[in-house]
Amino acid sequence: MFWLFLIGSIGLVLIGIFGLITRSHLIKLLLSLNILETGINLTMIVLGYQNGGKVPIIHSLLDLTKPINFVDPLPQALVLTSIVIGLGTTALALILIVNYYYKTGKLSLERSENEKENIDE
Amino acid sequence: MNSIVLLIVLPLVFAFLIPIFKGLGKYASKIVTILSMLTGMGFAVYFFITLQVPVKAILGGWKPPFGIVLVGDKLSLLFVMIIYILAFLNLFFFDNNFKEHSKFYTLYNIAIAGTAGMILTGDIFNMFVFIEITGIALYSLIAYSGKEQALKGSIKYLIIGSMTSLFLLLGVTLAYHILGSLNLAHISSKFYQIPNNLKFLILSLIFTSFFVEAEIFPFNMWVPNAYKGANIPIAALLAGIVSIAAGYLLFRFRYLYGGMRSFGNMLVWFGVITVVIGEFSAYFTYDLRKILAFSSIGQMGLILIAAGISNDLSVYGGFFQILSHSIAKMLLFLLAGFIIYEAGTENVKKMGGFGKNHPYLTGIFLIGALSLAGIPGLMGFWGKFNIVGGGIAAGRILPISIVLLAAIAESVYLIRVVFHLFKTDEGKIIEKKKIPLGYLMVVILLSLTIVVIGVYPQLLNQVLNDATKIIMNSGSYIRMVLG
Repeated sequence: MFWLFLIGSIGLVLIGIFGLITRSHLIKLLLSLNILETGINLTMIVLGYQNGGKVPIIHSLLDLTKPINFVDPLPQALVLTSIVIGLGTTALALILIVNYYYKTGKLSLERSENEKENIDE
Repeated sequence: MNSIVLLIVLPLVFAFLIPIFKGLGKYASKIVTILSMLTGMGFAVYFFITLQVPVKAILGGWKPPFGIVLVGDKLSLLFVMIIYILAFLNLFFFDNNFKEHSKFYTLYNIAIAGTAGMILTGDIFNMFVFIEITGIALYSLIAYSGKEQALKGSIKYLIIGSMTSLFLLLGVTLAYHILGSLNLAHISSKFYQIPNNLKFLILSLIFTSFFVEAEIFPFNMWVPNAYKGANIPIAALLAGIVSIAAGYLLFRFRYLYGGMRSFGNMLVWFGVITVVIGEFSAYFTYDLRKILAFSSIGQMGLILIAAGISNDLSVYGGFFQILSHSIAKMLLFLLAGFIIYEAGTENVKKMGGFGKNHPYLTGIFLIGALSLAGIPGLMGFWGKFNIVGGGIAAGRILPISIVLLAAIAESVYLIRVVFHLFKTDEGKIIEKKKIPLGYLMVVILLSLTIVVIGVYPQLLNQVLNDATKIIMNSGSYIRMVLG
């Protein structure tokens, strides 16, 4: 279970990196970024995961007397922060891309063939 | 003592006061920002001067290594102080394309809070959050001018910046998984337990994010677009203020890579590639803003080389280089704003006649340019001198000689700009325009700093020696934070 989880999330990371390297369409780049982010968030969860682990909440003092197999809660808190940051970045990126599209009519950052280097834009 | 928190909180508070006060008048948001930078500057100077022993601010009552801790020592407070001073001076910019709007000042305050946080925090996940705060403010600021180049630079920066900060997050998680801590001091006290390959992986993942902020190859393709399209104060913010924070992080993480020669080597060679690419790209362009952008890349590469060599002399030189580069680059961008306005062009070849109209301003430009090129007698010389000395002491002759060759190209293209400013074209006369007084005073202040410190480098000796000791001696940092 642990390994399946880990391989799956690393796979998502690799798909994201592949997309970021090979695509030039801006929306596809953003999608790749989001896949990469999901992959990394899942990797963080996996690293805190315990097989058969419990929720890290102490219900009674009896729980403290015997060793318990808790899932590490800290990576989950970190992932929450990371998800929120990712949401903000994605929204900002979409706004920028829309503005760029209105300005240039393009959805790619590559310079077109007949565009000459003009210093005074 | 919890008060160093103020250095991060104050600009954030002022940032969100701006939307409330902006209705009061045309200059309300600018005045609030000036107040914010002045109070921040006052606190930073006060903390730095009264600092006897390093202080830490424990947030939320969780003692380190469990909670977030802010660390104020001679190094971090010095850098925060300089960030506030430069951020205040940067408000006297000159840019005729700039549209005054309260959004700009809100984002400016947030960016300053983020950079101060990056420097003060002693917790690496918190550092990730501050890098993202700074990043998001900067992406919006770069796109603020609305030009095509600016949007291009902003989108590129956003994609590269988010990608690498996710790598940073992966590195942080790996370190946490293995060592069970997010505190820099705690991690560095136990870092030797990790096998070398894994150390290398964690450090590489973390440093990708620093490379973006520090404009290091291969993560610097956003730099020319961003500097070309953004308004002048934002380009100066990137070159003068964000580079301080990025350079600081490169050195602070010496606690982790200090003993690893392989990682230091990698940093040195990435730095050499960056220097060569930056200086030679600048040599082949005649666009004033792009020249300054590429020269920024080259200078940051040199700082990375100093971090990679990381002996006493090169760390000292690296700090000197960070400070001299920020001051000189901010001066040049401020001047570029006025030059572009008066000449009506960004093409260096068409700027002839400016020197005749404003010989003193062009002289000040020359001071900044020569300081960047590392001419003896100016501030920039001492940074390069010490880095080269450190490199020779460490036996890295080849990288150092490549850097010296690139420095020749650098002085050629910078002096070429001044030459074109003084050249007079026939038939083309540039109309002389009035210089605002506040702007002129800031420019003179910055150039005086360069000259005075260039002549008397011992003024900074004490401060930078303390800073170097902090970086070279991780034991005392660990005891201070965890004790």
